[in-house]
Formats: sequence, C-alpha cells, structure tokens
Amino acid sequence: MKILIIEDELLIQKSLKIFLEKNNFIVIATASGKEAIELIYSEDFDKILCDLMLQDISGFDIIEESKKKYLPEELKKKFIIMSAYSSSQIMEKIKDYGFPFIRKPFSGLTDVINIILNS
Amino acid sequence: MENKGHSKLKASGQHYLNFFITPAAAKKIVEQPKVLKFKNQTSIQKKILGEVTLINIINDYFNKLIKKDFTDAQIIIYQKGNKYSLIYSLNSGTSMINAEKFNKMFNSVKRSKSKVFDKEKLLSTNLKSLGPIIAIEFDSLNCQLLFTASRSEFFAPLSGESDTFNSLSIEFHKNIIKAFVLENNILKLNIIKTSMLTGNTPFKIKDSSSTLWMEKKLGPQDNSNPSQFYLKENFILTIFNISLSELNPNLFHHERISLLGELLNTLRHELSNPLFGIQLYLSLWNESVENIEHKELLGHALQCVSKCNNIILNLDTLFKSDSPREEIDIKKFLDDILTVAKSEIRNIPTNIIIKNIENVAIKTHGLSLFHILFNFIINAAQSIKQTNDPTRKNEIEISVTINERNIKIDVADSGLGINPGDISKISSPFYSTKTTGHGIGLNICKMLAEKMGGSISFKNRESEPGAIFSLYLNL
Repeated sequence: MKILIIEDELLIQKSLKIFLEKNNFIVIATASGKEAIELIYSEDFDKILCDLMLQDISGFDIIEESKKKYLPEELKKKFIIMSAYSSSQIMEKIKDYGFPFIRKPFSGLTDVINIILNS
Repeated sequence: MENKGHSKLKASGQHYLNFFITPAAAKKIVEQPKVLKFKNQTSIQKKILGEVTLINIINDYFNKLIKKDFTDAQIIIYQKGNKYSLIYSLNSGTSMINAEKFNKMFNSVKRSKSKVFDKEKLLSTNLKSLGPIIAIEFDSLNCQLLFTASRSEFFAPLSGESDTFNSLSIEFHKNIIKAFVLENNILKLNIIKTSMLTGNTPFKIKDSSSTLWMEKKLGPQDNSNPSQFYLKENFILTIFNISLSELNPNLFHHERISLLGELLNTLRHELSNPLFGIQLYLSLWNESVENIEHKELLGHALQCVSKCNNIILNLDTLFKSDSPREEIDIKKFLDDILTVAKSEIRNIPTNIIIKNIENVAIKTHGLSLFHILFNFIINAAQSIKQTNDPTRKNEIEISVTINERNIKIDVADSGLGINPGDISKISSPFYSTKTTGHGIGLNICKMLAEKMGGSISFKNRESEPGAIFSLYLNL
C-alpha cells in the first residue's frame, strides 16, 4: 500500500514515515503543499495523510487541486485529514468532504494503521 | 503605581497594536458615554497604512472600474473563522451575508473557467448586479475575497474587458485584505477594550441583525438601565447597570486576562505541534529499544511530554471561570508545582522545605491553585534574591494547616519582607518591585482565589525577617 504523508512538522512527518514503513507500507513524505500536489498528479497513492496547516498552502487547497485527478468518490477514499485545529467550521468542512479525521496529538500509533486500513 | 494599563496585543498574528487607558479616561467614558469612540484607532491605521482606509481603497477601485464603463461592482470579504462576510457594493453600500452562502459563491467562482456568470445562478438576492457578471476570487491566509463586476448589459463582457477587471482586481486585492484585516483587528481590540472598561458590568454585543456576538452575564441578569452604544460595522453594545462603583482597579485585570488568554492560545498552538513530534518519535523509539534502563527513561520522557501537553491544553482554561473543579491531592500537587518552580528559580540559591503536609484531597480549580502557589513560590525566591546576602539561610518554607472548614497553605520566605509602606500597594495591579516576572501579580492571585471561593493574605514574619503569603480555601 502506497501512502503520501503531507506534514510540515518534520519530526511528526519522519516519525510517521518510519513507523508506517516498519509496518510494510510504502511511504513518500513531503512538507510542502505544492510539492504534494505535484506528487498527487504524477504518482498513484492508495492513501494521503494530509495536515491542514502547511507553510505554503492549506490542506484544503491540496484537496481542491486533487479534484482535477480524482472524482469525489475516489477522493473520499484517498484522503485522511490530520489536524490540531478542530474548530467547528473546519470539522464541518471535513465532514462535507467525507474524510476520516485524526486529531493531533494522538496517542496510539496503531490507531493510524487501523484508520488507513479501514477507511 | 503607574496609573495606566499599557498593553500590547498580538491580533491574529498580524500586527502589534498598542492601546492604553487611564482610570480618569475610563471614568469619563462612563460619565459621558458619547466619548466611547476609541480615538486612537485612526492613528494606528495611519501608522500602518498611511492616510488610507479600507473604504478609500475600495472607492479607488470602484472609480477605476467606472472609468472602464462598468456600472456595478461588489467586493465580498470573508475573514476565515467568522460567521459573516461583508459585501461592499458600488451601488448599494455595505451589507452582510452568512459564511455558508459566501462559501458556495466562492467555490463556484473558483471552479469556473470562464468566470462569467448569470447573476441569478451565482448569486442569491444579496448581490444586485444586473445582467451577466464577471468574477474573480482570491484566497489568502486570513481572508477570502470575491470581486464581481457588471455593465448592466445583456451581453457577456468581452475578454479584453474581463482582462481589465482581472488586472485591476489583482492590483487591489492585497491592499484590500491588508486594510480589512487591520480594521477588523481594531474592531476586535475595541470589543476587548469595551469588556475591560465595563469590568464587572454585564453587557451584550449584537450586530445589526440582532445576532449576539458577545455576552457577559453575571448571575441573574437585571436588564434595567441599558445603555446602548454603536460600535464600528454596525455593532451595537448594550451595557446594563453601569455605575461608577465598578470603575475599580479590577478592570485592568479583565484587560490583562483577556490579553493573556489570547497570547496563551497562540502559544498553545505553537508548542503543541513540535511536542507532538517529540511524542511520536519517542514512542517509536520506545518500541524498538531493548535495554531496560533506556526503555524506562523513554517511558519517563513520554510521561513528561504528556504532562507538558496537559499543561498546554489547559492553559486557556486557567482564564475561564467555568474551568472544571477536580479532586486534588495537595501533597502530590505541591510536588508538581515545585518541579516547575525549581526550574524557574534555578538561578536563585534557595532551600525549599515542605512542612506538615498531610494527605488531604480538595476539590477545586487545579490550574488556579497551581497559578497562585507557583506565584507565591516565585515571589518568595525573588524576594530572597533581592536580599543579596549569601550568609542568610535562603529558605522557603511551605506548610499546610487544615481545620474543619478550611485549608491554609503558607509560603514563608527569608527575604526582605514587605516594606510597611508597600503593604497597601502590594496587591494593586501593576505594582511591582521587580523588573522581570510573569507580569501578573498578586492581584491576579487574589482574583483567582476569590473565584475559587477562597482568599489570600500576606504579612511579615514576626520572629525573623521575611514574609508569609497565605492561601485560604474552603474544604
């Protein structure tokens, strides 16, 4: 299973990468939203773990750009949102898209695998 | 004591704004509500934008469109996180639409390739353009902007006309966002200031459509004697039962506490992500490490991270009166405080002694308790530092006395003690003999203690130099 991690806090990004690789996932990680969009265009990922607050653009921008490649139904199965911000507006937006949501900080790393496998 | 509260507020991470108010000015505002105009806002604006205001910029933009034969235009500005967006219209002034409607419009413009719309399809009744309209959207960190324009003709604009509109919009959008965010920050600042000014007075802030934006209730509300003020952007402030007796120094705490609350929120967001990174990496490492000693230390490190996380998560509840009461084991609690306090005062050679601690649990607001005792200990250490005398014993003695009804926690130091002339001033706002510190003094402790249903007191020690600060709480 091939996974894209979009996360600009490098310690989070790299730790998640190591953990998922240990569990036999193929992982590509980036801190840049723009690079993430290029990766989504050029490669095929089974899942995209996406942070919302990035340095360059927002996670929602990445999702909107991904609509050029994927249909809404496909999109729903690709993206998993990770965020420390869980204001009602953001939650509403995520719900509208229909994505699973992981609130940061989370304690169980294995939960991440469950969400990846079950979503 | 200096008779003014002078504070810096980091508003939405954008600009630092200064404001201050003297008790005399506050008194004047209450006596003559009409002066509630927040005079300094124009000077702040001038500092950042020159003489230009948002309305000036918008009018400039509209005028340029008129010269190019456009007959109607709108700018709709949505500041992220708000419930409403504001419409500035060439022909019909300003109005508001809710965030949801705005989002729909924004997204349909964003998705469109031609950017030409039938007005009825794109817009609800709120936009009054006639005929086909052209639109362009901008998305910045804080704001989303929609520009629309039309010529009241039944033909779609030619591409050259669209180009003019687009380049004008591109040229203007950054300044419009800048001015809008700035003016909004000033509005927010004014609301905070108003809440500060009114101190213990109940108030409500509503917009022109009667939506409640802010309310401060204090017990059963007596809605008599309402005074109404018009704030910027058609916000209406209603203050109940305003009286001069409320203009006591306490009102400065409301200001400081709301500022601190904002600062702490920013801090919380800045700290929690890197901490989470540390937590993830440590737990990852913890799984693969086999050396028992290392594993134990990693476990300890993880516990520390989660302690920090808890403190960060709870930072803002410290400043909310409805923070939950929890069962607190005093002995363990003091140990925790000392861990944090010792690191804070590590440069001051002190010996901290804990006396007479029984295993007692009380139900109270943990963070307020933490804050008060932490302040007592830091103050004690700083007082010892001021003696600058290495031959003294440099002791901080913490003791707990319990009787049937209440618990008393004493923090006694061997410092200089309180200068008799300062006793009346010591818990006044902004009174300090120190150049450093938390910036929130004993008066905040006093207020927190009262909120917990307790009190604080202080006196000089009788038989030896130094002072004792005491916290009383009901059991």
